[in-house]
Amino acid sequence: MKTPRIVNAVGHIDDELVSEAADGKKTAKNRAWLKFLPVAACFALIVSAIVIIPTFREPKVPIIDPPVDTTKSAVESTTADDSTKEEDDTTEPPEALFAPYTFASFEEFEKHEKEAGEKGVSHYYVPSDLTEEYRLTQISKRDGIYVSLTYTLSEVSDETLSEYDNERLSTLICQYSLYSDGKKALESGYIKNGFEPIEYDGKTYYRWDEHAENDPTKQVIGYEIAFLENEELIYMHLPAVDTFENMMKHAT
Amino acid sequence: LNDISIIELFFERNEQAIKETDVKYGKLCYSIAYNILNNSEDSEECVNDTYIGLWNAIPPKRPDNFMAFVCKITRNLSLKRLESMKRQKRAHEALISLDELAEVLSDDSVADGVSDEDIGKLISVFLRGQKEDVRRVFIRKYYFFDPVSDIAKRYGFTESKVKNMLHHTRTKLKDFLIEEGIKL
Repeated sequence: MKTPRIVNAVGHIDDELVSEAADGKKTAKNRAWLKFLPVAACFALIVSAIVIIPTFREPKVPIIDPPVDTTKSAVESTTADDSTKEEDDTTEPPEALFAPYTFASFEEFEKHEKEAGEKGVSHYYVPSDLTEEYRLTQISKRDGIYVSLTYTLSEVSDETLSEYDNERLSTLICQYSLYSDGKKALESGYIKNGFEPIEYDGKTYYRWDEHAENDPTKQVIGYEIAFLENEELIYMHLPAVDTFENMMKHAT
Repeated sequence: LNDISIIELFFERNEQAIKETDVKYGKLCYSIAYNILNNSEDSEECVNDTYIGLWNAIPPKRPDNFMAFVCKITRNLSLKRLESMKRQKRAHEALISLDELAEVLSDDSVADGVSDEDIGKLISVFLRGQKEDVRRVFIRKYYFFDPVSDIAKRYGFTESKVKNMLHHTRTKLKDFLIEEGIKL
């Protein structure tokens, strides 16, 4: 799909116009309430006097956000150049914000999560029944968003497919969502976007098939499924190297 | 931190610049990306890519309006990502916005030698000639890609009023672009 030129042109409108619309200021349509403003102000004054005065007598507990320990970023240890690294602890590589954090093994990932304290995950989802042909190539995590495991299936290649499609045909992705409301995320991220409900082994999954070159008339290169497991959202890209039913054994 | 100070941090190559940008404009960037992509993960990635874009652009660039500069990068990146998204995964409401704009000026009706920037300047001229409400609603819809329901809530209008406003503005813009010789 190509973006129409006028859409790009709207991106060039004057900055002042953008700022004006972005400032969130609402246009007051009905100002009738303004005449009650003095009365409301007096009322608010009386109420606040009643509420505030007693609180002066109570000991106060400061409400301060706990400091965030940003020194434990896995990215930091892998991307920072020691020769240019400042002594100043307040600066860190910008990559730290560009998570995902990536790991090469479960051990490395779990160690990081243990050290991450509250931000660390206590559990995640792994595909089942993977043979030795599936090699774990990466674990990635975005805080509060997902833990994603990527496996590569060796020796899968189809000459008729593009490099990208071949890669998709040889990749298994298992993504465990960290969203608090898995049901809502399933609805907005997958069902609304065309994933069709299917019944498999007495459970509902949502499926969407990925075709070569994104052309529905061409061969399926991946089965994408999304489902809830204990109310948590799981997404998987299963390479279409076997029937859907056979590949589903890795998801269940 | 004010925008000038954040820009200074970028010039100093101080990574705090990214954090300050995130604190100040992270939500705004995310909402633009989400309106276009309708997908949290893609939107998060677009926001992160925006920061990379800023880091690479400043310096040498010193934007006069940092907020608009940030929004523009997020918008461009999100639209680019939308292009590559699979049809089934694209956000329905954003696609409607694209179609509505394309009806105002389709690619094949643009006069020769006119750049997107030229068209953007003329759209600015047109919008400045409209009432403030009309202008804001148009930009919320076609720059920020807000859903109609959000625009209605923001300005205290009914959804049908917003739709009508947008319809009239598009018609007027179409006429304006014909008058200006942009639309053949």
